[in-house]
Amino acid sequence: MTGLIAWGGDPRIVATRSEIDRGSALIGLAQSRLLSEVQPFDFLVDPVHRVVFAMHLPVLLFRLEQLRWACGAAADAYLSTEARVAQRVHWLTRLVAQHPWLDKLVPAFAVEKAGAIVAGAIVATQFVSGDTSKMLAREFVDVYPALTGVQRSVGDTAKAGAREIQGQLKPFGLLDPGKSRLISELQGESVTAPASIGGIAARLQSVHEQNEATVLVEKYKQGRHRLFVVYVPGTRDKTLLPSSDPFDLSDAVALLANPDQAASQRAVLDAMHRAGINSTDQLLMVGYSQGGTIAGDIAQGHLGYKVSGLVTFGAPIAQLDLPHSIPVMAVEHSNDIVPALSGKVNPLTSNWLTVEREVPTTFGELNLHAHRMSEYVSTAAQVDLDGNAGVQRIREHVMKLFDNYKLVGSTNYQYER
Amino acid sequence: MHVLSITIQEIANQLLGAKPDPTLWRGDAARAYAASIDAIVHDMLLLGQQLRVTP
Repeated sequence: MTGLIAWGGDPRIVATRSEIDRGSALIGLAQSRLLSEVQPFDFLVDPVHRVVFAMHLPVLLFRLEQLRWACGAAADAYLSTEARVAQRVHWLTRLVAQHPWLDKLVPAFAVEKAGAIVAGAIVATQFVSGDTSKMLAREFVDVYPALTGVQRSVGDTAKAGAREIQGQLKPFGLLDPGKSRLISELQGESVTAPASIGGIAARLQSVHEQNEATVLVEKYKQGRHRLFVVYVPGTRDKTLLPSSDPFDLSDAVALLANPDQAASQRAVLDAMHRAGINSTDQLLMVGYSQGGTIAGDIAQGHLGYKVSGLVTFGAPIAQLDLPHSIPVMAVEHSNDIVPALSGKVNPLTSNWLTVEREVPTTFGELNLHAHRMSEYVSTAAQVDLDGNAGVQRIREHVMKLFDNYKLVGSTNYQYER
Repeated sequence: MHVLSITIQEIANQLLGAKPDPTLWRGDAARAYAASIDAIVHDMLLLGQQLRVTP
């Protein structure tokens, strides 16, 4: 027992809320159609058949209703406790998005100041204990675009919210993503491949804690085949003002709003280009926090790289459309609000594992403590020991990528803005 | 007059579409749910047949 909570990664159990909802909706439609066959006028035209049918109808309707209830129970039971709570709160977002007139009930001044109110609410979640903080943060992100009228339909709310916040603060010179510039290329320290998920996390921690914003690219060879591992750090400067660090808060927001414009993502793509990674190479993307979102964005495949695996620590990635063919390991802390900035819950699929642990905090301590990379290194060590079927499977898939490959190069690319 | 039995058959076929797509939902619960739908569809088709032979 490691105390971890994990879901996904087990091919025997896969569930998507949309599929369960689709089934439930079709059953509802069948119920309506059956009911519509017993209108009073119909009995005048075809009385005998209608009476026979009407005698069977109550039982049929009851059985269908039982199935619909089962669908709802299944959707609830499949998701984690935190996800269940989030799904229940989610109805408010949908309600506002689908019924815009509800906006009228919200005072105009509240809508105008929604950015500040929601940002304040997210900051306030720092003082809420346990996994409730993460759930609240996710819902605040999700409800924001609907409140402000940015987006009327439920969709990529993280992107809409980030764009709105960016737009509101840009006139004050805040959250401007800027451009990144390579300042040095240094040989990395690694001489062998990491032997575990804990080893991968420790390597990522050393990248994140460099004095300069650094992207580490490791090159492995097996005959003519090449494997690259890219380690992407998290948000290093957490002030709103533009800094010389491309991995600052401005770029974290830009990354959710328009990934192509974020200096941090440009730095990573530049490092990958300089390392000579091409579309036929195997590629394992590893990232922490903002770096995990960048790694995930590249793993979507739209930038021309053939990503073979993704490992993230404390990163918002639920909003991404990741391919079902690659192993995804999302390590999160249940009281870390950063992964919740996606505004969504990670899916339950055979290739996507989510592992959670609650980081103990003392009274008065901010939940941001749970976002520390050092805590994620501890969690990664527990992932290596966990016996959950999904954890074992995805862990093996990730570590198998290194099989028979030999490390031939390791380069730290350092950037500034 | 077989209009009602045809309608029931249509509804039954529509209900078959509510069975889970195994790429999106699978596991013991999904199998039990699919089996329940099959059973209801089977009974609906039987009802349709019964109506067809009813004068």
